[in-house]
Amino acid sequence: MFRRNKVKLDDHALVAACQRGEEWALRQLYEVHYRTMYGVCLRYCRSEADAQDVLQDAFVKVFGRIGDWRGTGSLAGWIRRIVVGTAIDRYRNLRPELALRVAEPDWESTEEVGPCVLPDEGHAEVLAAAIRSLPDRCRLVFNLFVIEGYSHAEIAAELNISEGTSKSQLAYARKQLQTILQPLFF
Amino acid sequence: MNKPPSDSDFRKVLADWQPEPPADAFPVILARYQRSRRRSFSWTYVAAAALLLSLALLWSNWPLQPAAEPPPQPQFEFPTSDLPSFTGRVPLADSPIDAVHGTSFILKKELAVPRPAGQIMSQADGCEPVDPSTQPDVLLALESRNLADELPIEITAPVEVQPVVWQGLPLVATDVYPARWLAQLRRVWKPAEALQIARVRHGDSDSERLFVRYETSWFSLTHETKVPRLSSDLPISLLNPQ
Repeated sequence: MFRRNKVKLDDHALVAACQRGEEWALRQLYEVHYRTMYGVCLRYCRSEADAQDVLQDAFVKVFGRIGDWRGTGSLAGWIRRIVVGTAIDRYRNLRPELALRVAEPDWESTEEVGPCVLPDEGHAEVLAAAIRSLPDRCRLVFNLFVIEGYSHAEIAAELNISEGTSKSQLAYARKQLQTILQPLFF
Repeated sequence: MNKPPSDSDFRKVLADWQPEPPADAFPVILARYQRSRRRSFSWTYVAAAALLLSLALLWSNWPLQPAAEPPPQPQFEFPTSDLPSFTGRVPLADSPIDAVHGTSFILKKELAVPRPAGQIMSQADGCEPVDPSTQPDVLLALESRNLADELPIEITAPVEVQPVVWQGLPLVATDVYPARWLAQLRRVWKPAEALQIARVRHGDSDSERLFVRYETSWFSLTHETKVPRLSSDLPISLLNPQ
């Protein structure tokens, strides 16, 4: 797979080689991270085709900006931020959806519920597909809040929406996911 | 009924989910990256070349000098043809005139150009004939005029002439001036020779002009200069004409 170095380099050495434009290093960087980043793309995009486009765009950016990584954080986290940003850019300027006013679902107050059957790796595809089925802004908010750990203020700034809109979009996403996943988990 | 997946469930399952893309996208990504890099390099080279060119141009003129100040020029234009002309005003303070006395003026002391022996004035156009014994000619060519059009003409008494330095420039020194003009200025006149001046009045107007004689032609020294004002406004010491 790696044309020159059979040994997996540490991040700093790999980045240094990428900065020199070494093709084998770029390849290695891609090989190490592309699966995880494709998973990110699949959650943020509405289709697999969109996810593949975003993955390409994001890695072109990663290669071009590789010198910006200072080594203070993890390389994977730095790449992930670029991927998430690329995915958000794809949907950032979409026509604003109608503000949704959905009451927060009361996840804890459902009557007589059994423990959640944690989805295994096979269920990840199902969960990701459920997320992809959400409306664009709703999907972005859910991903940023639930998976990436953004606050509503951060999401509002990132998507240029109000915090209230972020909250309502998140509530709507949860409601939709509950509906979509009900046959599987209920 | 099972509990629906919580946020942490989504996070746990999907945060590091690693699906396999349907195709190896690396060749496409690499090609796009290399294209963008070439474009970036091209622009970098263009920018670098422009910078180097600018530096070279800058260096060729380094150190930067302010625009060279033009050499001091006389207030009026010296003649550039065989027939010299002068059309500008002559500021008295900057002129070779040291003093104005009525219709006569005295050149500054630097103007002391002895007249070559034996030179005889001839009658100028429209001027009174002069007596070479008492009216030596003056080398101060300014504007060739036909004074016949501006009669009456009053020829004043000759006044003392001295070597001319015009605004710090000796009039005999440079090639700024036409050969004819220089040749005349280089002539060495005898001290205390007179300057012949014509005072021209335009009809009923009080506008007067001063003319000096150059060989056989008369030349206007002041253009639309009112002689009385000049003589009264300037704090100058008058010298008695000889």
